[in-house]
Amino acid sequence: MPRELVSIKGTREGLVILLDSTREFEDIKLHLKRKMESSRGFFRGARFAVYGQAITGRQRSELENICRQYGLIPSPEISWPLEKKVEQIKTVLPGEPARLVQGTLRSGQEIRHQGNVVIIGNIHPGARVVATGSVIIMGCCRGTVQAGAEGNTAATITALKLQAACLSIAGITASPAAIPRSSLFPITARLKGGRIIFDSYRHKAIYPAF
Amino acid sequence: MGEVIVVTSGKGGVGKTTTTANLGAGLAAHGHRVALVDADIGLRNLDVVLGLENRIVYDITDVTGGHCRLRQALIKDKRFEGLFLLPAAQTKDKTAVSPDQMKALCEELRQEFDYVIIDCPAGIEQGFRNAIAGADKAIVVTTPEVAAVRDADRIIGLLEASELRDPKLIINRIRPRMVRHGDMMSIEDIIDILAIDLLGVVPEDEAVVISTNRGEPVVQDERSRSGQAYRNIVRRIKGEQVPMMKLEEGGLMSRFLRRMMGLS
Ligand SMILES: Nc1ncnc2c1ncn2[C@@H]1O[C@H](COP(=O)(O)OP(=O)(O)OP(=O)(O)O)[C@@H](O)[C@H]1O
Ligand SMILES: [Mg+2]
Repeated sequence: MPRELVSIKGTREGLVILLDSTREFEDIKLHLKRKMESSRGFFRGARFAVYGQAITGRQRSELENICRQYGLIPSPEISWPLEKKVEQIKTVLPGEPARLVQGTLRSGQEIRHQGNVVIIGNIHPGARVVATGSVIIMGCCRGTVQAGAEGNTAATITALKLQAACLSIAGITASPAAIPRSSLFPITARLKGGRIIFDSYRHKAIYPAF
Repeated sequence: MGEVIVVTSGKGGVGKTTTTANLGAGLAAHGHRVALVDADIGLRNLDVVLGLENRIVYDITDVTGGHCRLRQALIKDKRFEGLFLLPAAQTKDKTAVSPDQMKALCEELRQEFDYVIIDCPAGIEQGFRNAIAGADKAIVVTTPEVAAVRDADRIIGLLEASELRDPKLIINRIRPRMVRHGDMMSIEDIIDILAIDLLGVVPEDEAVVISTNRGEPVVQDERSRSGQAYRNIVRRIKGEQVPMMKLEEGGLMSRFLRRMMGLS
């Protein structure tokens, strides 16, 4: 698709003036002036930002000055999604957001969350966590935990200690007899072959040689 | 200005009323001015345990309803100087008092008394809400049973949600021999689950039943173990450091000898 030298987009925050910076700067300038001229003051008072990949600071202020002459107000904080995306890709780290719960859940208390949940505390008998993602308990779990509540079979449940807990992942419930009673290390419950299995992640992740 | 302490449990029949009566009498025996408030409206008990039932003229709903002054409704105990009871109404239900009225009542009482102790009804509904409304501290009573501990846990969560932080625990009716044989939850088991501070442990004791029927709080019974347990709790409420009493019958030496002889 042949790009215009200068195109003007309206966003919620104001106008975004997009430049094809592969073209001659003088042409861009001329084109911008023409656009402003033909708008007959339509843009007067509007806030705008200039977006172009390879323009220098001086070129940018030249273009901004042209717009000013037609009554526009430069506002560099106006964002443009295309540019934002490029930035995001650069800064995104692996991982997912989680809801952090500081404190123990007592009998009758419940956390429901779309996503992952991390509890810094214990889950007492009669307390419940329901999450569409994974659940991590930095404490002892004696209550009910439902991970992958909307069917996410990759969800897991990790606890420092499990005691008579009632666990399910994606609607599949762990048989109480299968839940390890004691372990020196945190235990992770995950789905495998349609059943919940338990492992201590220490062996896999930290000392793979063992 | 006195402090307002609510005695609560969740589960019924675990010893709230017994605890309230004994702490009240015990604190009064130390020379404090104490008001006991029976918030169990409709199931009035505290007056009976204190042996004051036939002196009731006005009750708590008469005060909140403006039918009498607080002073008129307070019953003075004849044995313990400084101990007063504000009885519950027997003919009404929990909705007869509102949390705001309770708050106002507690404010008025704390001007006059060193301790205001509120006997909470069982459950988590309106009666519970009323009883805790004006309190600044809470004592949770449980027995060594899974259901009672579960309910205590629920209550602690609700207390914390109502800004009554750091409630203290009393474990009532423990039977050391059963604990030793693994037939009853131990103090450690209960503390491990509830994760709150222990204020005291009261053993199962016939003396409680006898004293309750006589309307004489067991705390004044010098010989009973439950009386000793309550006296210890009273001193802890006053801020003293009192070690937990040994609950094993017979004491350490005889236990040691019995083990030597293969008797236990
Ligand atoms: N340590 C004890 N040893 C023996 N009996 C006890 C002990 N503590 C309480 N009891 C008995 O248990 C019964 C219930 O006690 P109490 O009335 O104090 O419980 P409560 O929690 O106030 O009950 P409710 O929920 O009905 O108000 C009473 O008959 C009392 O005498
Ligand atoms: Mg009672």
